[in-house]
Amino acid sequence: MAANVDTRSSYLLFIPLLLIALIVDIVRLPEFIAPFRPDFPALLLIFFAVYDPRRIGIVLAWCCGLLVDLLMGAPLGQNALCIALQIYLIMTQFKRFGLFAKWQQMIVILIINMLGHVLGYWISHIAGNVNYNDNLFYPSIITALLWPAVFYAGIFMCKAMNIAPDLPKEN
Amino acid sequence: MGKQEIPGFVLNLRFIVCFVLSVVLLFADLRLKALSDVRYYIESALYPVMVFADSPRSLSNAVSTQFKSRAQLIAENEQLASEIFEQRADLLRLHSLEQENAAMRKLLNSPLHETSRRMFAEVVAVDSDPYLQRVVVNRGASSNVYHSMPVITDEGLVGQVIQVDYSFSRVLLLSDPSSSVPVVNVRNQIRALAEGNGTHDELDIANVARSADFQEGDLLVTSGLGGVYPEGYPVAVVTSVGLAENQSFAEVKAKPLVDFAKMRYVLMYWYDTKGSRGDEIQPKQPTDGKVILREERIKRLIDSMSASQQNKRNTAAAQDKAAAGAGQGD
Repeated sequence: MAANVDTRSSYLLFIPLLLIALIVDIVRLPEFIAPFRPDFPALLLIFFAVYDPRRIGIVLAWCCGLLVDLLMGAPLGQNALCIALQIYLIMTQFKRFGLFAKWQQMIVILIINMLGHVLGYWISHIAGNVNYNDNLFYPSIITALLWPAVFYAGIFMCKAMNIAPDLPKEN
Repeated sequence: MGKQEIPGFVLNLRFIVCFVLSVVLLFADLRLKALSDVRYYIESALYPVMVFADSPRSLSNAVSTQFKSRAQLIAENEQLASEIFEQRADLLRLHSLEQENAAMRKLLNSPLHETSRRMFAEVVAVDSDPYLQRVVVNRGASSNVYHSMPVITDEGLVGQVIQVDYSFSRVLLLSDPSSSVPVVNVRNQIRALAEGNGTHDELDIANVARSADFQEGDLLVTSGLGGVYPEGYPVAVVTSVGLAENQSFAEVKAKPLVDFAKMRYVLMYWYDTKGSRGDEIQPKQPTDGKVILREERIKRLIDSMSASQQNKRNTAAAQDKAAAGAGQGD
């Protein structure tokens, strides 16, 4: 526990990265790549939920989703629920997620992100503004493909900034 | 890893709380519209983030305009000058036509159309939600933008304002699935509804009878019905007409004239349906042909009745007079 004394909190890295992810989420992209926009806030939250689950969990993910809703003009609570669902599934159904091989993690993220998109589709459907388009799942594929890059970049930044997860105090 | 695990029921509890909160928020936002004030303030505060997110594009535009060569600028300037010259000439004719049109409309008892105020606005963000076809423009309540205000460009209709914040507003594009525009076919004045279907370059023309005369290349303009959009703005060109035997309506598709993906500047259009300015020429109350006929008939009836009464009275007076004359005579 002596090593924990001079480490920093994950929030120090999380908050700036969240801002960047939110901005990337609303940047105008050319029309032909716009349908493939990856889900950066979800990736970021999954990374931190795996790395430091005591600080960054479902409730914080939900709050970040609210910010996404506000920036996108979506019904308030739609993306919040989708992201919270993804984090919840990772934390309860894949407790050993951090120990998986990278390709297994990618498959898990692909499935979970797709589930999130399906939930968002349902909510839009209930809200009455929806049409089915075939490229519903392209963003999930790109998101899953980006996971290793996000993971290694995140680990590198945590090392460089001396950030450690919050471990419970023992004895 | 094992010792930092959070017990499962805590996670379940947290997720249930989030779920319930989301459902409550969604209900309040969509059904009760209770959060519009909250959204107004928060989104107004988030506007700088949107502008910042748009900065790569505006920066690249600024750079590309900086590096235009002198020759290019001169050529562009010449072209613009000649365009302005031509348009001035057109404008001269337009003024006289407008006056003539107003005079004729007055003759026909139709309400006058006024050229209304317009304002330039720039598209600052596009909602990246795949289910929504909306853009954000940089004018809001501070510039008197109002809800359901029509938005146009020089090419045609863009859509209407659906949400107004302090310094920006959201525009619902024609191509959004929840948008529909009353249009009229220029060639033969058939009315129809143009509905968005979520793709940025296609509109569905809803409920067109199979016998209706729609052809490829027909221009659709706004009909002015519904009171949201001004009359006569071009909307779309019909691209395909499908007549399937098993369907009761023809499947007509149209392509919007404005390319929503490339649109950078729009005009906000103040459209006053009431024509409330007092000093303008007021038309007569528009009346139906039948009403006029009935009024005329009643008038004629009254006239004839009063005329017959007059006649009776006249004849009665004449008889009296005659009687009196006879009495005097006797």
